Amino acid sequence: MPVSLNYIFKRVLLSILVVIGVIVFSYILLLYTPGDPAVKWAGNPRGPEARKAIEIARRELGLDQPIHVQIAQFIYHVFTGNLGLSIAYKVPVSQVITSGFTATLELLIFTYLLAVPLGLWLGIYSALRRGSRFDSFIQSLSVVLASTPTFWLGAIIALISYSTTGFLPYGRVSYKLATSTGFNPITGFYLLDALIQGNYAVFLDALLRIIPPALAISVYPIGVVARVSRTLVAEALLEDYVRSAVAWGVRRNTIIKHFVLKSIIPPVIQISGLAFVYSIVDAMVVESLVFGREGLGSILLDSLHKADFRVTIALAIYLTIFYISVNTIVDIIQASIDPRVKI
Amino acid sequence: MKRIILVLIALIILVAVLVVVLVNKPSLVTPSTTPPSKIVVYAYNDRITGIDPSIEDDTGLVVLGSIYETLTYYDYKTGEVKPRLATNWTSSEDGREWIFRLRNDVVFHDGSLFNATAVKLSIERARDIYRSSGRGAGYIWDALEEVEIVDPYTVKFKLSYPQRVDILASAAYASYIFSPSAIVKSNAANYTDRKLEDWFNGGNAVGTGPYRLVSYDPMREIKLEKFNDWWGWRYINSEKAPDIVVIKIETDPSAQYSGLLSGELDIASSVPRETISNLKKQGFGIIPLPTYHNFVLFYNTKRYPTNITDFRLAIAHAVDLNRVVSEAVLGMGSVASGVLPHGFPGHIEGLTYEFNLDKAREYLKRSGVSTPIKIELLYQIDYEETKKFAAIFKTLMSELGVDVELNGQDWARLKDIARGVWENPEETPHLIVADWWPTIPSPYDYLYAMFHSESKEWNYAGYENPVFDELITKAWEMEGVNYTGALELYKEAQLTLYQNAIALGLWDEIRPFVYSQRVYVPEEALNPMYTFVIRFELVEVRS
Amino acid sequence: MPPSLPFIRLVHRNLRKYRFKIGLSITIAILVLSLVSQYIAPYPREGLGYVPVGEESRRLLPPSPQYLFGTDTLGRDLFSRVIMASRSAIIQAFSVVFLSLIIGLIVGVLAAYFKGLVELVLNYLTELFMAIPSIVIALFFRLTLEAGFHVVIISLVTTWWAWYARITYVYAKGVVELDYVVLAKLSGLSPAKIIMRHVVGVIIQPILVQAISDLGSALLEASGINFMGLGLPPGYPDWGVILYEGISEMGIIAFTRAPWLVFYPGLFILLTTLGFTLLADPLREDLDPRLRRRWKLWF
Repeated sequence: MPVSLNYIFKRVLLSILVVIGVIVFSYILLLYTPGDPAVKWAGNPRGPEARKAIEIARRELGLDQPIHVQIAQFIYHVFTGNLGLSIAYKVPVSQVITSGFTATLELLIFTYLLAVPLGLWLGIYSALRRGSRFDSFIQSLSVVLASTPTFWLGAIIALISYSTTGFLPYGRVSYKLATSTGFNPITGFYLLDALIQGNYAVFLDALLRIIPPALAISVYPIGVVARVSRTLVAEALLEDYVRSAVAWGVRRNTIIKHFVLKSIIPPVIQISGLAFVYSIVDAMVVESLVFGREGLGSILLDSLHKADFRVTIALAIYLTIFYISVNTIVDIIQASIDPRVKI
Repeated sequence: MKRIILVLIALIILVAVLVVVLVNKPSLVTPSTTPPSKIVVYAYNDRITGIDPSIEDDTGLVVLGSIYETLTYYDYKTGEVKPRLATNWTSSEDGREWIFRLRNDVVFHDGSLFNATAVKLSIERARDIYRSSGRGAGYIWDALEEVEIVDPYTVKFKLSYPQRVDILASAAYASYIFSPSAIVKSNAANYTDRKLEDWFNGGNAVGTGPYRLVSYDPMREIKLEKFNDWWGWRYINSEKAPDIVVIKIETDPSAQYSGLLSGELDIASSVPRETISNLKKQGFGIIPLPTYHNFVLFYNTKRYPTNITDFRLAIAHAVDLNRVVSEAVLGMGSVASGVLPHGFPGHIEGLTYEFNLDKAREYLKRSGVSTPIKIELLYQIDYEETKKFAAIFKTLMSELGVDVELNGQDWARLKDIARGVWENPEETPHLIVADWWPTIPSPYDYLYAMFHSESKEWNYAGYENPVFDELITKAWEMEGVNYTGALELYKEAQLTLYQNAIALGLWDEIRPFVYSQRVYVPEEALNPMYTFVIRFELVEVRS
Repeated sequence: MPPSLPFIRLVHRNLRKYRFKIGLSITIAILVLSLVSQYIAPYPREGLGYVPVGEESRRLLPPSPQYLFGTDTLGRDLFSRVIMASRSAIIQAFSVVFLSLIIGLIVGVLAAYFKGLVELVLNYLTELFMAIPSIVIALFFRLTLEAGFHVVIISLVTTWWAWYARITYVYAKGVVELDYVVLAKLSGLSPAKIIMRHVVGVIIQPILVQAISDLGSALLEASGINFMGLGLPPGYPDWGVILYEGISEMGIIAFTRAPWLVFYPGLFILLTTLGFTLLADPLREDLDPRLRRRWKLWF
């Protein structure tokens, strides 16, 4: 069913307003965090000329302008992607955060490529065998796994991996292996890069290191997708057209393939999209603290420790923008499928 | 449907098999091929905050120390200053004029010649940037009026008051010599132009050191390459020295540990202390380097009850530093004696407060402070040691009836709170744990920064004592003419601090550098004055 | 339109269900533990973060009859620390959900009742706060405030209230257009009375059930923030903090050197969350099987 342009327009407008609201909100929060950004930008100056240096820094940062001008400039910078130099490392902010974004995104995409089909399969299978032992096992398992802290699960997986194989899944790729085989990450998605370059040794190594954290993160999407698809399939099986198809003696597999699967794929995609954004923070906690991978989590904590306010705020805002964009797209997809739903 | 299920099952089995098979074969995990040329990978535990040779005053040292050189070099074992880019030097009787003769066989990494102009430019840039904007470590050149070029290989330092210029020239920051060609390359108008700074921090360098910068990513890794025209190869056997050095940023100690085990890393600066005995057993070399990095507990002397000397002494006598060193530092430190670290010029023994609870209670009684009383401790949460110290300290103080409220902060925030002692001492915590490492090998470095009343940035005690200020200022100026006399004055200054219990030296860090059997790191390659800098020219790669 | 049977009857009817009984017993057990743990803990001072004062080092001892869960990197009894942390878990989960519920309820009902500009602005605010990751808020508050409960609670409430505002709004929207509310308006009853009696009274039950089922998510999120070291101060008895301290010294090595440091606090988070989930799931299914759960929301 085509969705009205009017709805899309309204939804996108709302999203843009929300993004601007978030930027304003974070900028104001930032102004109230202790410590003068100008002092940090000037490099904690000492001595008789320190005051002058801070004044210069204040001008360089635009902090001498009235607040609404500052915010307007800031919004402009966010959308042009030019947030200046990182205070701690004196290199462009984009350089600091890009690699973290791609690392986390790679992990998440990998997780979802495994988790969504698996969850779908589990959901359909248990719906077809409602009340069976398999079904109730999956049901209980999903409740338990949904209650498990992801970072703890990650630790358990690492421990199991280590105690059974002696291999600690650490970092993104073996450093020596990457250098000795001349691995050159272009896109920042190591798995993809290794495949493109035909560097299978690096590919396998990166794969081995991505699987344990992916397992830990995948628990949540698998659970969500299984749960949702189970309900949807069960509902679909009760629909009149499916019932009459059954009555006419159409084979079960054909029914599932032609009627059921078609009707549940769109909502499953939608729910996966929602789950995806929730998983980002899961990934942030697990990747750096448990598996020592570079990513958004490590950059965020580091920018906090170094008081690199530009990196912190850039991360916060781009994360939010990413989140809102996914949400908006999901909402529009949903509206085009079922215009009644508003929540 | 069946097909989909089959495909899925096949996929899952494939992944499972891959995991089992590959994980069980570590030969596939760790590369069997050894890299072609002599590469050394050094894991450093922090990201790089910049590599401007005149301004950088933080973690950039680990890079600067290999690609730039100073005029002199401080030998921590003997306490002597040795020639480096300068061959010899003399000073006038009043210590206000110093003449340095320079090596005439030195070239920069871009081929330009090292001479007096480069020295004048480099030193004066550090000083001028500090003077005009307060940034960097150029304050050490405070006394410098001018570097005069006597001839292409002779410079004269003219000072406004006496100084040990040979010591200053060996500093860990603000004394590196870079090539004047950098100004041209960066299109800067002059040496204080921001463009030059951005050019350096963008990953460029022209130094004279044994290694030159190849690539620079402050978040991840810095690649250095052997500089074949380095003047020093004549004196050092260059055959075994690494061709390529990678300084790999590895902030996580367990990553350093597993990197060493899997052969990813050759040298590590910070492995979990828990693992050191295990590494030793496995044949890794370990150099426990006593560093000049020390931890000090400041008392807020402007707020009740830490403004009472007897109360401060009570606390000092109630801290069991041996226990702190064994449990918080896990033995990787030595109990401090005063605020200057062991082995540092001017360090004196016997400035440790005896751990004696009876004595502590006695002082507490004398102070007139009634217990139970609540005081606040500010400490850094990015150091594992200070976090544990806080927990131990809280317990120790509870024996005295002093209830310690813990306030853990990261470094940047701690600094903001701690210097509040000058503006609103009543809001600033009673106790502050801070750490320090020196820029120049002089007691003045520690004593001025942490206790001089003008050092509002780092004097977290809020200590104001004109007698003390004059003592160290006098000593600082006397260093240039009468070094032993100056040390006497520094001793007196330290005794003043000790008797008044302005701050409590906690421990001096011992840092275990670990290296694999692939390389040999001689002890001379490390120097606490330039912590974390490894003189890779002395490192040997075993085939 | 949700059925309006009293909450007590709902609970009573579910008491027969097996899942509900397990959930209820776990929840009650943790609640009781949070009240009595400081009296039954073998080393209550160590539970509060003090280190042992004995002569020899008790660092990283494995579980034994004397130290049921082993000891941590500072030699503290892990059992005492873990059971005393149940209090912080209960405080965080309940205060986050309760405060969010109150704010969300007010905003949602007001938006539904007063149309026009109020509705527009409140809905915009709801949308805005739903879009900010709670971990980002935690970062900012951690920078501004000292470590403590308030950091965790404020940063979670800042984002969570919007969720309740949204569901309240949807339910209330359905109610305010019903005849009896319109009649009440016409009869001149004050808006406060109408809102309390005819709107909140009707919609409160499903929202309450929703809130119970969110307790687990709140605990997971709070633990995540504490695990990253952004919430409660080090040494505080809290499962997230204990886990953080367990791995901050050695990192991943901790899992092999002292697995108990990681295992027990995580197990307690799991059990508590499971208790809340099992408690709320049957209620929710009973009330409205289509009600959407806030799946372990992080944002």
